[in-house]
Amino acid sequence: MGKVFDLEFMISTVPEIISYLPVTLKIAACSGIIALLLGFGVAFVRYFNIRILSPLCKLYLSFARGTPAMVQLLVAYYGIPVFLRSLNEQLGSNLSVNGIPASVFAVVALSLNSGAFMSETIRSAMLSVDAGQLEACYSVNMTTRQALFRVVLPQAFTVALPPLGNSFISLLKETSLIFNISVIEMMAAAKIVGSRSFRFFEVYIVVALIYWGCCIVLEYLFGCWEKRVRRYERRAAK
Amino acid sequence: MIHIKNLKKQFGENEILRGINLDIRQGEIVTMIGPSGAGKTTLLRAINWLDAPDEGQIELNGAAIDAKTATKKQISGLRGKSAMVFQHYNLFRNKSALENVTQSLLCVKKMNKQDAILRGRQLLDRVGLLNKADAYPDFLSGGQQQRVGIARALAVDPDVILFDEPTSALDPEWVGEVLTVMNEIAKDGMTMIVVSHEMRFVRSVSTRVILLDEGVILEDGAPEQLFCHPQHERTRLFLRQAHLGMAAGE
Repeated sequence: MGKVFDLEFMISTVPEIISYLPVTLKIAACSGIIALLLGFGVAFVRYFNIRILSPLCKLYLSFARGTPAMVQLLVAYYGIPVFLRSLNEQLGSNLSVNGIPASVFAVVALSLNSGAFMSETIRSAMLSVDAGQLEACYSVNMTTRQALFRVVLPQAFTVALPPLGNSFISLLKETSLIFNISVIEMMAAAKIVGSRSFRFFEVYIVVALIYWGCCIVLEYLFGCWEKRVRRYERRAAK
Repeated sequence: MIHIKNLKKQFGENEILRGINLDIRQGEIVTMIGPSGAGKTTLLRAINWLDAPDEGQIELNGAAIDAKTATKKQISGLRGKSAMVFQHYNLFRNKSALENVTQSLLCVKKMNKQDAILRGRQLLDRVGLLNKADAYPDFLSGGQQQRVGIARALAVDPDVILFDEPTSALDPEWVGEVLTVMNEIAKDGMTMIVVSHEMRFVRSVSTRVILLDEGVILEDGAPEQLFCHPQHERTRLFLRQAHLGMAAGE
């Protein structure tokens, strides 16, 4: 029986584990960007209460927020192949599942999950912008599109940025679930390293610290960004 | 120049405008007064199509629009010839004073950036706020914000500027500077329609006063005529209350 806690071993595993950090970051970034776009899209549909689409979006939100991310990952992992197969049968096409890397399933599932939360953040931020702002745009003969992109959305974004930052940090941490669908990212790498030596505690500490470090950096970056977008508000001028 | 015919507007069960007919000539400074709920603001906002009327026609220097058949193009035509100054300023909060003024120049008139900035600075200078060009609305006093609001309205190069209680949200100390700017614009010959309880302005600047009550025009005439020889008992009542209010405030 060796030491209770092997610090040297722990440190020795850092390079191998951290070499998978880019995979984690890439998946988080891709999912984050897609989730943000999806979030804006769904928020628009709901903000303008567009017929047919609006109830569909509501259904999506209800599902995405009412089921665990883990379950969604597995549903995507097993569901997309089934979906493609039935598509092939119906259309006679030849779409192959095998060519799609598992990380794509992960990105799909994570962005659908995170997009739901982001869309609610964005929608409520849009609603928080004073109606007088839109009226002022109309009064100088701007179009709805111009009003949205030049006045309403920039202000909504300022309101939405802190919760969006939170969503993004959650997303980064949720990537630790995707080893379940056989994507080798940081968490999976740690499990592999751990199982070689049966020193799981040490490797999980390493993973925890790396995630923590990443989140501290992200928090800092979002904080700076927030300060910048809030420059027109009086309370930030201290 | 402005012809309003049979304008009607209802909010739910509540009839706000009951068939307004009104003609306004170039250069007139029209003040609308009346008890709250009389429809002054709704009428004003209809001319800028911020509240679409249910029925009736508006014609503003060639831009004609019928409430029943209004198209986007017609609405834009009307808005291109009118501009609004709001009670609560409604400056674009994420834009500097200058950007507030240049916004419509850039995206409606498609001016290039240098020209827009030049024109924007001229207009800010006209309301005495060139030194605040880069300040965001949050950092301006109420009076300054409203003056930027006036500059923003001027940037539209409108045939008429609509003022919706432009001084009623202001602290008393800022009212003077806004009225001064309004006076100057009036002297330059701008047609103005003003909803105001500011009797100083009504008496000193307006060329015509309209009293609205329950969605109809009750009185319409020169200020001295309306104030000294009102036609209706209701007008007398309203004026007495307005004067009493003023006397109590002073």
